[in-house]
Amino acid sequence: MIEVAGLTKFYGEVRALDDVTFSVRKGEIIGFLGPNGAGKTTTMRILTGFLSPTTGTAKVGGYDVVENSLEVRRITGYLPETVPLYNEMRVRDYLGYMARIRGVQRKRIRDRVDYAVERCGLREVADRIIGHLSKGYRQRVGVAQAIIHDPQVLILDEPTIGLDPVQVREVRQLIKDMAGERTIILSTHILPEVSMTCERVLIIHKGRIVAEDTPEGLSRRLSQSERILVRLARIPSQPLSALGKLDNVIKVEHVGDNLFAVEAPAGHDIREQLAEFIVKNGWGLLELRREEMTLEEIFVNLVTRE
Amino acid sequence: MAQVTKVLVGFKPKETVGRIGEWFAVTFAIALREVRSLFSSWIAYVTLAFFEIWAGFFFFAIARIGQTADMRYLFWNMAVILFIVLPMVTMRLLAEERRLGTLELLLTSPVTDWQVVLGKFLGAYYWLIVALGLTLYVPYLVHRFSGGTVDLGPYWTAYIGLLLFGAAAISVGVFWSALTDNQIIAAFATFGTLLLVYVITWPTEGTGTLAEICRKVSLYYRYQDFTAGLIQSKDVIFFLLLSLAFLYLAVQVLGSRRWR
Repeated sequence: MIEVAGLTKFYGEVRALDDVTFSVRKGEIIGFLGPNGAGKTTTMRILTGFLSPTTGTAKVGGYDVVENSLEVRRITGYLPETVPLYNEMRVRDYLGYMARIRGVQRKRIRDRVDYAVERCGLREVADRIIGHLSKGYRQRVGVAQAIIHDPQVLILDEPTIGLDPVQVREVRQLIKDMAGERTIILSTHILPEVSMTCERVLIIHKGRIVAEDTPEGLSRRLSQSERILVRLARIPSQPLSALGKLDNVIKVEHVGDNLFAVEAPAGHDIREQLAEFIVKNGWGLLELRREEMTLEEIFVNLVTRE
Repeated sequence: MAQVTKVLVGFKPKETVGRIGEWFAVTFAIALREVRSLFSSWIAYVTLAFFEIWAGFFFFAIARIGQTADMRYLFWNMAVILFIVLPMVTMRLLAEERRLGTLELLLTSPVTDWQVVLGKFLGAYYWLIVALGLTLYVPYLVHRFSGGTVDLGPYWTAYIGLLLFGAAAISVGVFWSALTDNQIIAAFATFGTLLLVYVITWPTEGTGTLAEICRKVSLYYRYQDFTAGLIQSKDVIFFLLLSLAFLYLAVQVLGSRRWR
């Protein structure tokens, strides 16, 4: 559905995007992950025809974003980072206007507005003035205008930024509900967001895509070592050096009052060996579990490496 | 040749008309939103009040003191008031959308830059029509109190002149509003541009090529003919071309952001 090849964008001397290549299948929901200024917004603006790339090509639904910009815009719904709303308008009027300029036939506008209002949970505020709405509702109006013309592709730039936790959950659920029927790209610098909503993650840093995988795959691929946490009933006199002598153990750390972290190279499962050893020595094994590396850590890993 | 044949064979009048109609319908939707937004803020009413009060002032001054139905001075002054007030109306057109971020929405919708610029132009033009409409008591009163003896012809030509002059002024405003997201700068630049082409003949009165050129581009000189009851096609074309030129420039400015 979306094909991006060798996309590069310069702002004057500054290289905002550097040879970005990726593709998104129909119905897929992918997350763009990266710190602020990584090039997420630039990529989205190119996909929506707001900016042109310096070099490289991007196609949405088979249409080139430069050559056939209007066709691309017709099938794309876009929510920019700063939710663009006319504060003096009422929600229903705003959505009707957006439907009109997004090319919805006049007789279908009412249906589409009703659909978007229903879909985004805006029924109670549909006749209110946008300027009086809470941030959460404003964001939902933003999502509503993006789906008003029933686009095949949805591009959402930081859709949950600045919302409180309850609102964040609602907007995420809304996005998840639309997966499958539409192809969705969303950007975020909040890690849990991608693991919760996306099937695939592109990590972008300094204008480059530095990793691309499923949230789980990324997690697996990037953990170069595995940490096993063990909780003991009786702390031996020299636990660190004793555990450290085991095969494949890289490092042992005392992390809590009776909790120890044992690190082993990725791919080596030392849990059985570890359990046997502890039981044999009579230290009282209370707990033994594998510590999953969080996406947060992977992210820090990725963007600090470069 | 094959291309031409294909285009000719592929030409479906009904469909083409429908598409052109749709093009204008969407443009009018943009204009209508602009009008609503303009008239939901104080700025529309403050500017209208300013225009009407000063136009009224000059009318009664001329009618009372001058005891004459020659309203040329009134119409000249109306043009001057217009180019003081119009920048306040036009400054927000695109600058405001840029500030709100809604410009990004407009430009990523399936509308062309021409539709956006034209929609904005028409939105501001509505203000002009309202402003001029509210001065129609002038010909009415003159007609009524002169017992129908005054020829209103020059009044109507003056109004046509104001509509053309206003179109050019609004286009200049749209252009500056596209160029900067600072509304104050947009207003001053528009005012400056209009003032320049209005008074451009002042330092070059007389004969000579320079004076001739200045008179040719002077809005003031062009407009004067209309207030004298004269509609010349070269003046009409001048105002229309000037409007089109600035709208074209505004479209170029909007398009240029893609490459910045």
